[in-house]
Amino acid sequence: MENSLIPFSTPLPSRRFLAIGAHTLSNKMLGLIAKLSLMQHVTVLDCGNRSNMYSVAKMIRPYTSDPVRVMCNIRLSRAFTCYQVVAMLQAVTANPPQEPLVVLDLLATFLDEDVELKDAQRLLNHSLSLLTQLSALAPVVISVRPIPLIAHQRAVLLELLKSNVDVCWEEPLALQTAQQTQMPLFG
Amino acid sequence: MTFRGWLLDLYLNQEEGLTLWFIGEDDRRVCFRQAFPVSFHAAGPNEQLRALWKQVNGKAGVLGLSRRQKQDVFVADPVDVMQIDMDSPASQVRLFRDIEADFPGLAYYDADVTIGTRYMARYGVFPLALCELEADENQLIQSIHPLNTRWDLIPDLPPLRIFELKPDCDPNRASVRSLLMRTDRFAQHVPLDPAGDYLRLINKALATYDPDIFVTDWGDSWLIPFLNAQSEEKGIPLQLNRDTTRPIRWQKETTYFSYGHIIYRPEEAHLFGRCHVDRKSSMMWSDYSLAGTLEMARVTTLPIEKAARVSPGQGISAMQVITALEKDVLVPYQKRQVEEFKSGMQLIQSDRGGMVYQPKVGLHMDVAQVDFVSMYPAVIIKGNISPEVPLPELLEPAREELGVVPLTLKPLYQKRVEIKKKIRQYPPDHPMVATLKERANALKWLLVVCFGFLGYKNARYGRIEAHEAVTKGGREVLLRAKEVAESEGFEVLHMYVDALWIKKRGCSKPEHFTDVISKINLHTGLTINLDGVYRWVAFLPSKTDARIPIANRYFGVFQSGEIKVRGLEARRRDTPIWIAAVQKQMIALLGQARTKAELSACIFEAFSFYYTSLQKLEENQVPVDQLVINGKVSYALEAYKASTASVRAARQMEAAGIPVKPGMRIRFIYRKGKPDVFAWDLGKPIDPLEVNKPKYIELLAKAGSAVLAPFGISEGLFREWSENRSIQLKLEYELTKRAR
Repeated sequence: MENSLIPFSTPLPSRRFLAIGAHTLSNKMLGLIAKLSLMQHVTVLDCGNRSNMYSVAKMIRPYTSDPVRVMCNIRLSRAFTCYQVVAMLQAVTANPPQEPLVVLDLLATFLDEDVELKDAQRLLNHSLSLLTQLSALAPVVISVRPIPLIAHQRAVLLELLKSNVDVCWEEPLALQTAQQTQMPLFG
Repeated sequence: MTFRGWLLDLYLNQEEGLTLWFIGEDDRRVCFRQAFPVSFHAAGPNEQLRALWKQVNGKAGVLGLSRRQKQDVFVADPVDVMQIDMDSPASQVRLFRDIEADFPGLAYYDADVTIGTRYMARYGVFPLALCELEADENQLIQSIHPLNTRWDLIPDLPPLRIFELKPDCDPNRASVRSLLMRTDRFAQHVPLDPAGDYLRLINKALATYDPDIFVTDWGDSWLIPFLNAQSEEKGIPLQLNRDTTRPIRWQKETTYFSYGHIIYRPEEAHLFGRCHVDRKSSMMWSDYSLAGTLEMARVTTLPIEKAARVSPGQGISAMQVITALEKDVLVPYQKRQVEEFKSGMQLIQSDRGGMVYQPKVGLHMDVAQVDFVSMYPAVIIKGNISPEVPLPELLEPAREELGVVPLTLKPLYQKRVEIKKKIRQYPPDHPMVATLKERANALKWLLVVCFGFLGYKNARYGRIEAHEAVTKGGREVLLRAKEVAESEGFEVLHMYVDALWIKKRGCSKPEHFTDVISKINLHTGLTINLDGVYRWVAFLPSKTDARIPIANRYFGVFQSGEIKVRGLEARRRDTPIWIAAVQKQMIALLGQARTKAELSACIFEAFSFYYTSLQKLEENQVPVDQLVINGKVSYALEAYKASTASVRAARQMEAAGIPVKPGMRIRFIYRKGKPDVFAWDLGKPIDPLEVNKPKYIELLAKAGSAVLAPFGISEGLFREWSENRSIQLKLEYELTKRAR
């Protein structure tokens, strides 16, 4: 359950953390969810279909004799459109958790070209203000991936997000490249 | 005046509201107009609604404002909404565009419902519905009612005039020299002469024949743009629309994601008063042709031109909206309902797909394949699975009154079952059979997508929990079926979502499986049919590890001689036509074996055919156009880090000035040397000697070895033999060991 590459040490303070990396750092974020769930309840808002609970179950298995109980510490909901992201955050804010909140792939639905950029900006602004409210009570960890080339005109959304968090960590480029390049077999 | 006829086309006009074209029972084509006031709704905080009231009150086109209570499908109790009544659909579109920008925080309902859908919900009138109407002396409709329904098994259809126009070759590949005009009355080749006489000929033919359906090949992407440009350049008028006051309506090109694929749809040419159907833009044309397209338009109420081009998902969506409007349920503009919170454990338990029971790899004799009839739609109907209804307990519905989704599906499902019954009443070569099959295929696709639509992010009546409940029901049904089959002494060889492959010693005829099928029907409450009894069927292993079975990768031959292939090269769209044909023929030769004893000889025949094909390839006897690979690019070319063969071919096209869009099919040939691919749609000839034969031998060997692998011939050895024939292949087939 190695997630040291994301330099957010637990226990997390009640602030807004942002981690940016290839594939929204899925494995690292799932590792973080697993680690948190072993100790306490954790709320997960999955905005990009990233919540692979099989992986989390595998990660916690060596550390607990009761994996079912630990998996029940995770409370999650998925959103598939940016309208649903806002509705989901409104629902959470109405009954805010005291435990950490992990938001996976926050920007995924805001890149949908069916949603006009100005609407996406408005909805993201709304989402960020709700996340700010939530971070007053518990830590909020958000993951995103770099804006893909095909959606480059929406890079403004990532900038908006960056300017609305307390701690931002970006996976170094060399790390991303190293993960994609296979080492030479000989010499 | 009273008029009876079939509705052909319906569209907005800025004056009265709607323009409608009918095919009269007296064969006249008549245009009417109709006033069509519409309403839409807004909900949200009171202060915002008050501000909206002030803003729209008295605006052009607004007939009235009122406060209502209406049912939102995702909310238990009726919600307070503001109803805005508009004098016409055109005013409604304009006003909604403005207020959506000014009041983005409000929830809107019934705001983007298409005009055909609204018309159907109000009058029960749909494309090609036979109607009776009353109109005044200005052709303004005063009343209208349908004389038939969407669910008629053998509908009373109008005598459509179909005009076909197509180029003499693929315009992406070669220079078009002539066009072929064809109707039920005449057929004529029209050369593209420099003077432009062909434009006059086409124009005259259109005016004389006055077609209802204008069928083209490459009409959207080449033919109509070409004819328009030529008409303008040469100053020769060309009237494609029946409504002469309108120009052609061009719908923008688009790229979208559907069922795991990126799809590109070129610009579309839509006509007024008649329908343009471009066979090359009609994604399902090969499946259900014109009869299926018309069936799709009738049941979904999509305009014929749209029904021909869009995916069945849009059809299901339209049908659900009609159901909602008929039930007086609000149609949400943006779905905001979210998934209920669940634990990590609950997600693991619920987020699963269909049941798959891996096959027993190898060759099996006398196997029955039994399939549930439209399993997922049947589960939705039986379990009453709909976003607004509590989820069922396995297959037991939580309440009796059907929700929006099952209510939409039930008549569709029943109609398909009835059409399939009707097909069985005719001999196979009866002229009705082909048409009925095409119609059944269109309905099948609607039923297929309805399940996926429950989980689709933009589906108005989608809900992820409902989607999961369907797969859960499907798994339960399949497990029950397996238990019944095993309790009856059958061995279950393979299960795949909605089908089982079963066998039992002594059972080799359809009647031997009747009892087990009845018992499965009884224990599941769903209908299961015998797809057929295989003389033999071969389940194939993984290409990378022969010990691992692969679901849904098999081929076999039914007792009727019909061959069934799944997951092989012959089924893939990117396989060159010739390689697919060789593979199919090899299977057909194997399929001649009626008994185990006959198989050895058939294997030899299949192998001989393979060898002959290989020699043809080596001796350049295969036409180059049969070797074209049908590739695809899913992203903009600059997004690719790795360069696949399709991408390399696409880059050649882009370099030649041919725009490449995500989702576009890219056809190419593997060639020797550099560049190693040749983009087929560059339109240049390729010397057959340039073809990369070793690459095609590799592809052929893969296809051939997939067929011969169940008979003990390893892919590696087969490929090596195909490449240099330096080894000896053993073709003896040990029946006792391999056939189970």
